[in-house]
Amino acid sequence: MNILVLLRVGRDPASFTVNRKAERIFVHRDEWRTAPADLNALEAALVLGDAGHMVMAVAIGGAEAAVALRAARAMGAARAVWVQDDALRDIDAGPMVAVVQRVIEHIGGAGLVLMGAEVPHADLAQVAARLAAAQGWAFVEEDAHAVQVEPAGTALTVTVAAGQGFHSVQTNEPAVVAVVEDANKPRYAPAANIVRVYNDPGAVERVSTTDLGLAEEALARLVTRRGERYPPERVFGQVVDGSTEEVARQLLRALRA
Amino acid sequence: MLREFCEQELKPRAKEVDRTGRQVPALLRWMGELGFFGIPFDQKYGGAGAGEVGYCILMQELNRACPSTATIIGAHIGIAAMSLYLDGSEALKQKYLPDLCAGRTIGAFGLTEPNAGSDAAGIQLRATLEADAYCLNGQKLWITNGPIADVVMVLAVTDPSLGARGGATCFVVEANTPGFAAGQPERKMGLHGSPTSLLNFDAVRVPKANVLGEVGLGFVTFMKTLDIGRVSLGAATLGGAEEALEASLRWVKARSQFGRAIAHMQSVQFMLADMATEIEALRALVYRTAWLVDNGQPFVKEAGMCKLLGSETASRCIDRALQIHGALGISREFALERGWRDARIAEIFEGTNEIQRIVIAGELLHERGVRIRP
Repeated sequence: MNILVLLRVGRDPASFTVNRKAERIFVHRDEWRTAPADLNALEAALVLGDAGHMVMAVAIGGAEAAVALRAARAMGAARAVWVQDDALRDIDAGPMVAVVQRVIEHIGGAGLVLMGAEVPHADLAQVAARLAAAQGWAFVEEDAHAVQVEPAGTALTVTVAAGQGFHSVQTNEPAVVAVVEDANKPRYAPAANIVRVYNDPGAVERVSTTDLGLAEEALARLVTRRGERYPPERVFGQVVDGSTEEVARQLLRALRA
Repeated sequence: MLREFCEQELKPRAKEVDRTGRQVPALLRWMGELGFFGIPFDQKYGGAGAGEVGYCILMQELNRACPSTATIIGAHIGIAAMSLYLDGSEALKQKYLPDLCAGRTIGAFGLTEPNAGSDAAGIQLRATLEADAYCLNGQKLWITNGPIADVVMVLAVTDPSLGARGGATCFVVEANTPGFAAGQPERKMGLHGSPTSLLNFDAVRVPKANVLGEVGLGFVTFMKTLDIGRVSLGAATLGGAEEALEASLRWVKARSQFGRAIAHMQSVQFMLADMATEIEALRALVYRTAWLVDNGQPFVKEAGMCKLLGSETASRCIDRALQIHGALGISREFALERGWRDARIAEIFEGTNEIQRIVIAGELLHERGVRIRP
């Protein structure tokens, strides 16, 4: 079975500061990272890859997407598709679904699409649900931790967190599963694989939106940005000290005020 | 990816490794499985094929996170396995390198003796040919990885009439050979998690097939190995200096004095600027030299500079960071105090900085036609 993993790459939160007073975002360094939950999705896919399934990674955007894909190849993905377009860095959920749909066609179909359930860029968390709806596929989202493919047939068993434990959700392929962050521990790439992938110019397959046959209107954003508003500056808290009773009294006064 | 491993797996354990003086064996095995122990070597021997540049990246990241672990791997790759890789016969490489690259065996490099430190040519450990084997008698001191090594590259005198230059030979000695014994780990100021000990050779019989390189040319093999080792040592010190700068940058934003963050104080800014400038100079030197190594260019002078500038830069940067942190800098609860203790040895081992100055000056003058005799 072909398993597609979507890697969404965004600016590393440590590389910029949101300055509420100046109402500006200051970017200090050009550093990017793959959404942590997407790496958990990749690990869930690679576990299936170890059992003989074909794991393919896809990422959309500029050079940072290619870096994420090389890392995925080094970790064990069999194929990586980079939809190269700097203009798609700020893509939202609508066009991203359109791109992924075309990538699925491009790779000859997929039985399972995995991605993270949470993404720092909140709008992109919709991608899994929207993709499943657009494809008419089954969708498992809630706290998915791992996926098993039944040896016979096309049934999938998804382990889902529930309360203090887990339960299993069964569905059939094709399906989209959104894996929750920290569902597993992503593996580290062996050093030899890193070198091999970085020395192989063909390790990451590059396609453009034109190659995928996507018209400009298919890439139109769902949301139009009209402006930016920043939350007010944080007010420092008040330190209370004294005996326990005094502290409790002061706390009550502050809460009532 | 390497940084993630070091940050997530090594750094959280570094304090405990320093406190107990014990490594986590499972962690070393894991690093072996990931190929850390064979980073620079050809993939046909089980290495990663990342060359000197890749090896320098590894050492930089390891030393940022845990200098003790970096020292174990540095001695294992940079001098032990490297001497085998540089001058070993194909049979020796096939026999030992795959296990060394996978971390299934640990290597050490035996040069220093009671009467031979900076004067490496003064070694006295004797190897006598007896039928099909050499018999080794003597002692090596201050051997990194000594207590945990499975394989030791040892320099011994085979012809006393020729001295070390022409009369010394390098041997691959398996630690389970009768007569070989490692001493108790030394109690050191820093690098508590990196075991160092003496090695005792009491009629240790080493087959002729385990001669590394040519008989009588062992000193050349060892000096060549040390030249390359100095580049990666420079990279390791770069990691230590970077970590000190990062810690300082975090602290100056958080620490307030006289009603404002100490980042706003010029005296602190000057220290940060000096650290960053020296670190960038070191980075440029280290990676240019690694490039020279990978591209077969002469690098001996630059390698000496890497070790000299690196060790002194790291010591200065960590010392400044400690000053910026004030009393917290000397607290055992924080990493800086450990970093300060761990950094000092880099000015001493793998050729003291005084030796590096001699090497650099010798190369400089040699380029201008002046031959300096040792």
